[in-house]
Amino acid sequence: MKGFNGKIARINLSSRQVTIETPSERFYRQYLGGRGIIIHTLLTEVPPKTDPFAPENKLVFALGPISGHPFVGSGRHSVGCKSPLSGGYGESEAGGYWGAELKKAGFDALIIEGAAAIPVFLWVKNGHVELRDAGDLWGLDTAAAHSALQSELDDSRIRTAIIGPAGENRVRFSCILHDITHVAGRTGTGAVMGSKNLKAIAVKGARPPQTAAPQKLKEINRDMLKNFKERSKHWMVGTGRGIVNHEKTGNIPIRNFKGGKFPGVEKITPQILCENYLDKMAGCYGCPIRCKRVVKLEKPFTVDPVYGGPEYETLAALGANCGIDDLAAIMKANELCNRYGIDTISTGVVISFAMDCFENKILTLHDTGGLDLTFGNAPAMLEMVERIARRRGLGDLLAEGSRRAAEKIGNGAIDFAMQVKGEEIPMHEPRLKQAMGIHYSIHATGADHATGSSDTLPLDDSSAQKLHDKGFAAQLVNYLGLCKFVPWTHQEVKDALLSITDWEMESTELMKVVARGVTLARIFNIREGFSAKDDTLPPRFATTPPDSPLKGIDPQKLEKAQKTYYRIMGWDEKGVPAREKLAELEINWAAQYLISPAESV
Amino acid sequence: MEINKETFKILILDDNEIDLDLLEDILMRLGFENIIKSKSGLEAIRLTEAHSPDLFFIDIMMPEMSGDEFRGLLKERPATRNTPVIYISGIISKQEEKAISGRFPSGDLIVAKPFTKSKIARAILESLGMAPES
Repeated sequence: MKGFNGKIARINLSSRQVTIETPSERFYRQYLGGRGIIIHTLLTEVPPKTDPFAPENKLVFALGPISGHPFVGSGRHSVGCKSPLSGGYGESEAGGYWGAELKKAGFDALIIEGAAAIPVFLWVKNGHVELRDAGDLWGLDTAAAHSALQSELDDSRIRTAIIGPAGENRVRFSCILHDITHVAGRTGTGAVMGSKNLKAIAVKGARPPQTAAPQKLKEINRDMLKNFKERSKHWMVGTGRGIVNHEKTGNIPIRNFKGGKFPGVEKITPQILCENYLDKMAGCYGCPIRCKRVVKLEKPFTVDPVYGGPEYETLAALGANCGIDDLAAIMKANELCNRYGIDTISTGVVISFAMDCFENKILTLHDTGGLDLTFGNAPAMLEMVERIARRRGLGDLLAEGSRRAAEKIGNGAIDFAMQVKGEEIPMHEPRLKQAMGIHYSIHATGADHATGSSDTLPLDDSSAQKLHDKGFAAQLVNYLGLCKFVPWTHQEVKDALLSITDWEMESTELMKVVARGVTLARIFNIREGFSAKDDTLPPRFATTPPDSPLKGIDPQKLEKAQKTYYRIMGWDEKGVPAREKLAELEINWAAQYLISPAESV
Repeated sequence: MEINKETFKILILDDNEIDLDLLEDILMRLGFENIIKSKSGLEAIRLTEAHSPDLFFIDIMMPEMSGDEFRGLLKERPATRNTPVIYISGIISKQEEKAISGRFPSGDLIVAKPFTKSKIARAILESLGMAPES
């Protein structure tokens, strides 16, 4: 088998046993990698109704066939587990160098199970996996832990996946940071890593597995290397280039998705950031685009460049969404999130939720510990980031995520919790991108922007089909280990896959892999008690905000579009995958989890 | 001794399509490349002649031809007389499986449904007289 290592390492932290598995080539072709390996593992191995923080939950790091090969955008990998935020399928992607290094180290995936009795880290080097004591690392910020690992292993070129104090404290939206700045941000994978007493995974490898046609791969890659400046604009200032326009169109969420105007957006653009605070642009393995900004600041806050810099989602979530136009404060908040290891999107949205509750007098000064949580109060936002990561005061409640916090607060707070299935909504307004709204409502992980459709059209009869087609294309990269920001054509991707694996996979076969993954994730959630009733959006999205180009989403149209999407997917009216579809996708075996679909919905 | 998973052939005989596919999926994940599936004993006889499997998974309760009858036919043929067989069954409980230590008096192994990857992996190694993996 070309392109893969053909090896998955299974590490049981309870028994400290490491076993190496060698799945068949057919398995790899059916699931490809990344998201495919993760959902297969979680569905077949995590017992139903497992507490996400129990040792029985599994944490899976998985590469795709393209990960780590000399190809622009191949620095991606996926991380998944049962999500402590949603209680359903959880998964997130990261870029950087860690995934490529794992490929070079001889593995296609790591499956972490059980829980260590004391803090440990994993040392993965050239086909070997070793558990080591992490007592001295526990409690350290991510950058300090990264440096300590470099010292302990006496190698400055190791790659690390690390959790910060927030993951140790099981903040439900804590993340895993790869080499400090490349973040698997969403669905709370960092909290699960923390629950397993696993502080870090250090990786070092020698070379990736052989490809089937290296010369051909080089030829395909050459065009992107030569023309990336014409083909992508992310090399200029990274993501968020159009943030000012997003305010005009309504795409950027303002004050917890209340809508309206936010002229302060002019002060938080990546252009201003690059002109005034840029330390350098940074990127990922094998990629010349270098879309990530590293920022540096001395006053009024010290912002350490080791923690990178804010991308669009962060500028929006901790900026406009909290009514904040203080760029320095947003950069500081980004640093704190990466330092402690929490997802910037969820952090911004739980803080904006608290601000909304505060302005609506559902939370008082007594509840906030004297903090004036009005929209636009940057020092209060920064203080809340600290409190959430440390689980102090109101931060302890917000660390549970906006849905759980709202349920505890009561008094109608749930209407201000901008989440789907417990996962906070990203920075693309579904009242503008209404097909994205369908995706937010249905997607197995909860609201996810990276794999939806960016159409800015209102819902109509064609929305579900468009979402399906565009969404599937967007999701494919997460099975391949490829970056969506690199604008490869579909044909180039197929040619690259052929050059790497020697598999001539037609579009229909590739889309079938995606459909298989989406359907298995759906079944995972049904098994965990989710139903069509959970495919919903917060009520705020049904309203039309004043002084805004946004139009409320018609609930009936949304429901109709969801039903159309179910039908396209081969799911029944209640969103349960039909047996015939399972047979078509060659996953008949998954029907065992749907033995009583009527009871499941 | 190691199993060459690229050439090692396994035939699964089970009239239940879900279980048939579940076992195939587990075997794929365990690395076996040559998996032959059959839903009936008569078809399985033809497939056995065509492919000469190295190991059989046989469901006990099936219409037309039971698992025992199929096993009997295998024993009659010199080519398959000594080929290891693992019975799979939904009618035997986990307690019963434990009581007979997962093995019938005939020496054939039995794995109660629902099966897991680790159970199947252990059974394969045991059927071939190999020590289970640590």
